[in-house]
Amino acid sequence: MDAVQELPDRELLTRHAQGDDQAFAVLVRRHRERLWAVAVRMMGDPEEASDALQDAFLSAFRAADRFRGESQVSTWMHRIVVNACHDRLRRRKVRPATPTEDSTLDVMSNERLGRMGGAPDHASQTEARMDVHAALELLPLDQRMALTLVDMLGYRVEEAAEILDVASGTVKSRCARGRAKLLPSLAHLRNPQHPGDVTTGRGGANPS
Amino acid sequence: MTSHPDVEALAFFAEELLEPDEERTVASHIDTCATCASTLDELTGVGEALAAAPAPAMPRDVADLLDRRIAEAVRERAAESPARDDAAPAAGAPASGATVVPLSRRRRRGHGPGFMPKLMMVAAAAVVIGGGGAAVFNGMLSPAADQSSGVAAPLQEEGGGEAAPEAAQSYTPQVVRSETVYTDASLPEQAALTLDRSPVGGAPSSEGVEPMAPVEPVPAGVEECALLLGEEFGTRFTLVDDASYGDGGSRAWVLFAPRGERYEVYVVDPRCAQGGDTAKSVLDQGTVQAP
Repeated sequence: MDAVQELPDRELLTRHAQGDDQAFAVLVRRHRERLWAVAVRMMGDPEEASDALQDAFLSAFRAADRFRGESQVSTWMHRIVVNACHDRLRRRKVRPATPTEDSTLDVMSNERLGRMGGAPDHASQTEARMDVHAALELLPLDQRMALTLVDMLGYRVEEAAEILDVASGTVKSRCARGRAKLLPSLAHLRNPQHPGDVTTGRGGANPS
Repeated sequence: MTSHPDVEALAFFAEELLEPDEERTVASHIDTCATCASTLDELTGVGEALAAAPAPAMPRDVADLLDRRIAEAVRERAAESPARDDAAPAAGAPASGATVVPLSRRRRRGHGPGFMPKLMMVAAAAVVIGGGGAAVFNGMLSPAADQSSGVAAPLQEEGGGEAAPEAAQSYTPQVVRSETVYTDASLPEQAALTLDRSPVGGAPSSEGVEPMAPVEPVPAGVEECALLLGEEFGTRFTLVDDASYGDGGSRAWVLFAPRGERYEVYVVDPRCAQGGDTAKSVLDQGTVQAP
């Protein structure tokens, strides 16, 4: 029985709630890469993703005894991470002097750099990333979170619905609205710069 | 030609979210409208652009940081009483060696009896008795105070012959200072009032009663005294009033232990834990109705 590593998620969580010192760390190690990917894409910034993950894991640590088992443990952890990100994003929206503006500035300075001929490859890559996140900042949080899970991270609509605790149809319509809103800011990422790879046929990336 | 559907309608169309008749209209429009067909493609491109946005793998230092934070949380949970007394710094004596894990101070629910060794059950019972009051009490505190005011936490060691090792595992009563000068004649009334004002007594029963906050840090020796006397009398003290007693008004500790609907009250000399026969340090005794 020394194989704590091999216990199922649910058992680990139960042991943690009962006072086991190791179980939670095992659980976190098992899921953290995935949850990091969620957080870093939600937040658009490693520093903030790290903060959000810390919030989330500590709150999961303390809330373990309230896990009722209606969902998978991993879904429950996703939900906590997503909520932690949501809280931070909301605060960021309220408080204007934030990395949002910094990244906009970065985009501008990168553009300038690019025009001046400095490190064009790196600059344009950075610019593309900044553009995606700057564009995401324009969306309502609900749409942003749905798009992050479904389009950026490839979660099935049903999974995203469970994580966000809404109906599948709601996830789909949030994604649709979000894509429509992002179209003006993101269409250029493909078309003008890479005229060669336009169009893979409609519906290709939207199987759901 | 029908008018162009807006971008959102096209996005809904791609997700098959449109009503059937609307869907038919848009579908037939796209068949004949190159602009809208290409907008639809561009919508696909939005999803692709999002999927293509690079995301850095979790940096090593973040992984380490998370490990540390969790280890801290584990220690914090295991150490039931962080430095609340100069004589009993909890520092450096974290969960190591703790074969039992105490009730979490912040989340007392969810630690099932199945896990707790027998000894702890006794203390847990005391927690339950005082629990209602403690909950109300915690509600009045600032978060910072909440952290350090240990709600009665369970006992670890059974011997307790010498001063409890400060391993933050000893049973800890709430301590208040009512500034009452207890007397033999008035002990029941005075004790009842103290209980009413105290954290363990729940909300004060009447308007004029002023609630008391717990004393931090706990005076040296209180925990040991409560522990020793608790063993002596087979009970658990949940409240100590650091007060005075008798004509001379000399310092005394008044200890309260719940027993059914009543509290047993012991007035003791503060030197009670300093060796010798602890029972002899008891100056007075009585019982009062639980508030």
